[in-house]
Amino acid sequence: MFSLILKRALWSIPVLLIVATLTFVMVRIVPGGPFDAEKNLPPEIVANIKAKYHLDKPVLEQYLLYMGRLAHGDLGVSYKYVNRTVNDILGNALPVSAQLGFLGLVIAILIGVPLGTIAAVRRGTSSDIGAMLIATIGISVPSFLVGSLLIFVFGISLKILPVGLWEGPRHMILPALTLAASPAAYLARLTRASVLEVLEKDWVRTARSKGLSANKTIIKHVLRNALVPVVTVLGPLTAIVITGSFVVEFIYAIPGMGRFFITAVSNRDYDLIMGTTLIFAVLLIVTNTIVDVIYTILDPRMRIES
Amino acid sequence: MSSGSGNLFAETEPLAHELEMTGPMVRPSQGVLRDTWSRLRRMPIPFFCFWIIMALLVVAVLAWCGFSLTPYAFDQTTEQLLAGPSWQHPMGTDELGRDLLTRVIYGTRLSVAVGFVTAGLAFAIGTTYGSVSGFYGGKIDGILMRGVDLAYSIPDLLVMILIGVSLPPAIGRTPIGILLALGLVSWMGTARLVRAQLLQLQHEEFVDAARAAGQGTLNIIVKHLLPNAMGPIIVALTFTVPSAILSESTLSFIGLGLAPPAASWGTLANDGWRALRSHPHLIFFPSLFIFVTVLSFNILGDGLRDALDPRIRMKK
Repeated sequence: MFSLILKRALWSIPVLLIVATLTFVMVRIVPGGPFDAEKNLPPEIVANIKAKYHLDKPVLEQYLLYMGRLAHGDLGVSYKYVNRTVNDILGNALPVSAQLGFLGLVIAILIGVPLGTIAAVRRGTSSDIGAMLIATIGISVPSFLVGSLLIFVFGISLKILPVGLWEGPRHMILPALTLAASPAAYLARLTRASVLEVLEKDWVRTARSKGLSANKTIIKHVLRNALVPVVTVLGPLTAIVITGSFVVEFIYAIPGMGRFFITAVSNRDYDLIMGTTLIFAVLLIVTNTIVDVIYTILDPRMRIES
Repeated sequence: MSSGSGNLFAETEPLAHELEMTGPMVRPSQGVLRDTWSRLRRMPIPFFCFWIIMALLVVAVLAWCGFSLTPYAFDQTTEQLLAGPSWQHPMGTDELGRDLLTRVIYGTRLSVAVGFVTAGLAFAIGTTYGSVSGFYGGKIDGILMRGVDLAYSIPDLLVMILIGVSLPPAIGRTPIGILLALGLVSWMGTARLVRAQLLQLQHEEFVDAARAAGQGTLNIIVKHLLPNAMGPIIVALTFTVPSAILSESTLSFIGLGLAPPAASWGTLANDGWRALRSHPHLIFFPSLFIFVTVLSFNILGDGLRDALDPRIRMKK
């Protein structure tokens, strides 16, 4: 297992290098720079500002300068948030997003897995149809509709929960629910399919015929096997949660990574775009490694192969 | 598809179809479509969703042709600013006094077009990629499929936003730029599916027969393998349309999608978002249209999948 983790860690270096280079090229080939939107500054001052941030140099030189700083863990400075480095901004934003994403994932698993299991076990009954209808609605509803309905009902009409910001547990309820909606539905559909497949297996019949109760069979024999494919989608699931967090952080004005990324893109805040993208890349590499590690633990066949 | 193609499914000569069924070499796609259609007709909810989608398509096509279904023009302002729903304005009006129903109908054009064109792009890219991977197998397959895994694990919105910013402004936030970005993030499902189908099918006898008859690789893939894999591909595309509609509206909602004056359901929802507290109808109606459309496609996709998969049918 350690060799697997080590291999992944070594692999991540070229991957991150490619991500950094691609993003660097992408954000710089566009016309329009970070200081275009300012009030009409005299050209000399604009030139001075650009010189300060090395934006007057050839792109290749800018690239080498950036990579040199990156190698030292310095993500640069923001061109829009006065006196703040990218490290500083992301250092504050990452924990917020991580909390939100973790809460969203936990809620999604707590809703999705039981819903899918019940639907599979009671296949064809009204509870199956009901559960799958809820799941289909869940993958179809835009998260900004969920968000604005929740805000409207609980924040504006009933006034029992805050409509935005991130200042304590009460502020987390609505954003976490909004974020959980779509991954929960995705998990429910996946769990149902997976459990249905396992239920067909011979050893489930054996367990039942030796007198094990239906509930025990499901928990001890069915779920343990059915959840393997569920664990393997953790990677795509993280991608869904990150995508969701863009909208959720936008709706609830949460100072997380997604929100900074969106504003950085519209502001052409080069270093902040690069920093956020790189953190997302690291996050995805880490989740995919975790998935592979869990996979080898759950499925002994994988261990022999590697 | 129009309602006309519905009849097309139903009206195939049964005799020719049965004759062709005797050999596996050219399984008639017409017959499969007809079977699917008649099975779909027996599923009330998916069938209903099929007609909702047809109705939306008619609305979108009429709007493209310039037929307004409401007495107002797209940009026509009235005296009533920010009016709530009424008989005169079923969905109310916006801050400039424009009729929201009219704007939603015009938004249908772009949202529906985005969905279908993206499905077309996903089909083109995914089928080519998946065919190469599935047909050649081995090392090529391994590398290409790692590529799909990688593309899957990157958040769509991240890629779309980055593509959006790196395109020149003239196309970056126009429908063309959005379609490019959507096409690039939507092909993976189709690619995986086509590859799996081809891996399975290429050991069938009809492939050997075609090869023995001297047909080239391209011919075998396009004329023999892909038609046999069409059912699942159509199902996958039915799911691509709603996810593209959802992605576009999400991108437009956070203000990084279509730039004004282009209007889709997503940009309308973004306009309405700012007035959530005082005028919730402005965000509610466009979002509702997105929801109903996406839900209809998803239910239809589930129905089609069940209709095409005899294994699932038997269990029921």
